[in-house]
Amino acid sequence: MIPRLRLLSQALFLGLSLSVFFGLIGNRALVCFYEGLHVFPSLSALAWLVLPPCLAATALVLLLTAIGGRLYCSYLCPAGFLQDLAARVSASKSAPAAKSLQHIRYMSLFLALGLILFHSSSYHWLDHVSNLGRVYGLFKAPLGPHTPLALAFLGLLLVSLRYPRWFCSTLCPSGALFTLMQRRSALRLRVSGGCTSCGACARACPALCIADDVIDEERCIRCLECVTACPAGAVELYWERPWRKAHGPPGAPGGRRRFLALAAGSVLAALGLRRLGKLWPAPKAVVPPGGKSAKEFFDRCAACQACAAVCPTKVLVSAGMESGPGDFGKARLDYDRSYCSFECNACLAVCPTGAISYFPLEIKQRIKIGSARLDKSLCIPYAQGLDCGACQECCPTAAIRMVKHGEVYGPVPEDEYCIGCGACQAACPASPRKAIRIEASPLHTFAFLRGSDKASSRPASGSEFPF
Amino acid sequence: MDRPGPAVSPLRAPATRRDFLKWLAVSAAGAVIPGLRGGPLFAGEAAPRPPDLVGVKEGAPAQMFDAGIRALGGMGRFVKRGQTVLVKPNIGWSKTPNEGATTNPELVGTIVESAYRAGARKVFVFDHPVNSEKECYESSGIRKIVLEKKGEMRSGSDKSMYRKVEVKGGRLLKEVLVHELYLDSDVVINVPILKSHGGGRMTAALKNLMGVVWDRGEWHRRGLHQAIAEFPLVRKPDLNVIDAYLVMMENGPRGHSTEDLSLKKMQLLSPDAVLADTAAAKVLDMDPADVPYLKLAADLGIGSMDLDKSLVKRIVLKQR
Repeated sequence: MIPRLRLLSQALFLGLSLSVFFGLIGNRALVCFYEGLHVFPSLSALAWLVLPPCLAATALVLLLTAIGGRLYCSYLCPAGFLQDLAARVSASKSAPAAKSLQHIRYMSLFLALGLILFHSSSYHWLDHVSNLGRVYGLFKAPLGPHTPLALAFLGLLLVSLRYPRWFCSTLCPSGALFTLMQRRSALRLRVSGGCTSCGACARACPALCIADDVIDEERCIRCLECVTACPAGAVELYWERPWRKAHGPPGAPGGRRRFLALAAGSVLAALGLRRLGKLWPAPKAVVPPGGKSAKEFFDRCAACQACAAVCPTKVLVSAGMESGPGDFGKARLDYDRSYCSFECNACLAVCPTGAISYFPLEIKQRIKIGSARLDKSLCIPYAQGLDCGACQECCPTAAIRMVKHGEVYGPVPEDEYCIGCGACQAACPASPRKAIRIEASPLHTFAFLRGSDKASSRPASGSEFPF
Repeated sequence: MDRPGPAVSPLRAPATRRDFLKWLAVSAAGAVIPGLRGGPLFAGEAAPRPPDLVGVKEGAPAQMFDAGIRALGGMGRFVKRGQTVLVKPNIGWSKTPNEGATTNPELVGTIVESAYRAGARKVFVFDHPVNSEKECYESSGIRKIVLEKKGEMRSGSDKSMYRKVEVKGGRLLKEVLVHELYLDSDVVINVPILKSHGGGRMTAALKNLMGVVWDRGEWHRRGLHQAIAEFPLVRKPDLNVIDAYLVMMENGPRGHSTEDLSLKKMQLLSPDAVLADTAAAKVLDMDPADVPYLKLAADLGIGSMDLDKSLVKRIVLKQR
């Protein structure tokens, strides 16, 4: 019963994560819920004093963990599922011998929390969801700057062929956080007196964390498969008031003092990394409205791909190395590919980190994220004397006027009305280089609203025909 | 493409003044008699020549279409029993009907219904929108009404549905990738909305045909007006119904606010796209001579720009 239920739940969430990443689900609420299940992006939003849209889902996961321990790891996590699958097909596997490696993940946890505290989104290098996104990215584009990282993460997951759930118990910061919470969870697990040492539980354990009838709390993912596997009913769940006593050994060997030193050291390292990150010049990419500026946006974006998943025009792509290695994989707008739809604010509503703040549509329609710049030497009416107007046609804010130039009409962008949506650049037929391009605004502002000229004063209807 | 266009000769403007006066007398009689009898003349009697262009005013879009198509000789003149019909509105933008950027959905629905009533086997509707097709079909209200009238809503954003055809007599266009429904449907009813247009100066019947073409960027790159003028050499629409109910006088074709719009409550119907566009330019307060593609198309024999020599019927509906 439990193994089947777990398989179903894991498959469901792997499917959900794939559907979100590949944009098969456009439903904002569902994308929000899925993104909210991952704790770090939500924590990051809170560190910026932004209320993430999916806080309820995050609270649900934390509550589940406080009650039952690492249920997220065993029932929901798609990266965990992939490792379970690897372990399932492997013939020779064993529990990892070196326990000392296990505190790497506490360093990883405190590094991530430190980065979040110091307003850097570089924790996405450690986070399993962002890394999984890079692996999925292989299916979109097998070769790219993300390829080595994706393959490296895939390699880490494949260690499970030898040591099941190795990534979870060695590197994963979320796993480390949930392990700390599991030590004081309300629902706990123990092997009671009825044990006959038959070894059924150890064989059933997907993490191979039971040896000599003792559960290794550091690696246990609370899948509860041992409970159903025990023929004597000796592996039992029991309730403990969380404040009474912690379960199992302290987080790291060497006791509390050493653990605190490790935590403090990691947080300091995060501060150092943050300082180092500031040495990179401010990025120039166009980022979604609500992102405030490329700098602020990249400081918050966790490269989770939620925005790209709901984008109807598919203008959001993953940034490469152009704005520094720290921004790799984060979202930016590619106007050679598409444009930002005027009638849409979907990405503003789903961002779990607060990198894209929410604004109602009427406000979003006035946020200026860039400026149209025209190169007349490439522009068809100016360069070839032919009528075109493809850019003016698409402009949602009437920021491009058509002005008589010889026999034809040529576009003149008027910056105060331009919101930088890129409709003009996407439509520009000039080839191979587009004549009109969007230059990113260093800081997002509001565009002016063009007033009406004279149309409303025109007599509307009557019984006369003009022809 | 070897499919013949609709016969033009019975609709061409009379060559001499005497002919013209004769036609005028006959059609004046024709305008009175069917009005009394409420139906076509019986067989044996010479049917009056239908007008080249019908302008209708002061009614709801569907009501104006009913009056207009009756004046043109009824839908049966264009759609025969068992034929397939393409209705091609302008659904280029993800805008709502009251923003005047897309063809009035009520009008599209009426035309679909009317084609079925005339015996059409299947009525297709599509456009190749500039914005995302799904959004455009939805927000324009056209998808909903077409499905209500049992029409077939098809995709215009699927390249596999386009076929390369030769443009016979094209100077700029030699080959164009055209939607198969435009090529294969027995009847094409072109239902544009009238708007001002940055590059084309105006958009109505001729410009609306860019929505059955795959690569519009190429037209912009190589000469927009010449391409618009030459494209009907592939095939001319059998009937053009220009929606001039809510007209975008400025900032077209996308429009920027409802203040660009003027409520004209008008509709133009003609088998001749050039003639309909020439009259439509005047609705936009423009001189038709300022729209380069009109003259280019007239010179290619696509249609006539001569309103004076054409038989124009003007109908003002009584408002209740």
